[in-house]
This record gives sequence, C-alpha cells and structure tokens, in this order.
Amino acid sequence: MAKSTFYTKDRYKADFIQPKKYTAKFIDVKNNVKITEILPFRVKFVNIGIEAYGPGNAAPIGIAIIGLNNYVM
Amino acid sequence: MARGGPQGLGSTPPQLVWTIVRGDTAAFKVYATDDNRIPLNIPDYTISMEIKRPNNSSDLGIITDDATLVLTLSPYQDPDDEAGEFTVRLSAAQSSQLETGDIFDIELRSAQDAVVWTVGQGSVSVVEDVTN
Repeated sequence: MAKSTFYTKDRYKADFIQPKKYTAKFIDVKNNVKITEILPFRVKFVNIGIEAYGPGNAAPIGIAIIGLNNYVM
Repeated sequence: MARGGPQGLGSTPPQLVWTIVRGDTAAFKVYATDDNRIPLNIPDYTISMEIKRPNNSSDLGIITDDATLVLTLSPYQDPDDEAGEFTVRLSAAQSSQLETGDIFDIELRSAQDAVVWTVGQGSVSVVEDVTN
C-alpha cells in the first residue's frame, strides 16, 4: 500500500539572532601622590618669671599663642 | 588626602600675643627644634626681632609691612638656656615705648641665609601701669 507523508514548510524555525554583547569597562589609571610636608622647625614658647594664676588658669601677662599651629610643640 | 581640590602646603607661623605691663621688664623663652624634635644649635643662627607700629590705626595688631620701627631686639641664648632655647627680653625702658597693637616677629637665620625661619609673629598688648 502506498504511503504519502506530507511535511509543512515551516519545519525550519527562524530565531532572532542576537548580537553578541561586549561589555566595556573603563579603568581610570590613578596616579597616587602622597605629599609629606616637612616642617622646617618646631617651637615652644615659655613664659619667664610668671607663676600660674590659679589652678588651670594661665596668668594673663606674658606670651600666649593664638589658635592651633602645626609648628607648636 | 584632599581629593578634587587644591591641597594646602606650608603654615602660618605661630601667632602670638605678648602682654606686658608698661614700664615692666618682660621676657620669654623660645625652644626650637627641627621636625624630628632635635634641638637647634642656636649659636648657628642669628636671631632678630623687630617691633613695629602699623601706620594705619585700622591695622593695629595686624601683621603688615606698612609699619614703623619702634624697637629692635636681639634675642640670645642665656647662660641658663638649654639646647635649642633662646630668650627674648624687654627692658623697662623698652616696654615703656610700646603700645597695644604694635606687631613683631622673630626670625632665625643661618649662615649666608641658607635657612631663614620666622618662628613666631604677633602683637603686643600693653597693660597700663599706675606707679611710675
């Protein structure tokens, strides 16, 4: 007995062709610089002949340093 | 470390206020070392100090070049000063000449000015006296 087989033409499926993904990563080359400052000197100022005014209170006469300073020990 | 902006270098010398009583003697010591805290050999340096009066009353107490010389002091290493120390002295006659708002600085110079350091700068505050 004769046998006939019929195939549909859509046997072949087309799929989306996806572009290959390339990932770019940019790395910034950083030049690290550390600046170390050398102080030319350090200094301390000492009053002469002036006794303390009271516990924890400096005498109001004499040399006084205003604010903070890197040079002062 | 600072990012994205300028990084500061250098420092303002120590800012001082020297309070004296008019006509009194006054003195203080300065102890100076290098950055490693090794005392300086003071005889290697010439120490100078000038006290000036700003020419404009609005500049009193402010460090300025626009000022007139009042006194020249010569700080030196006293016999009782230890390594790295020197003494700034004001006689009674000298302190009588000073006014509040006068300005000064103290400078160390090595031979041939190879090193010049301003170890401090500031102003004078004069307390008036009663007994002459």
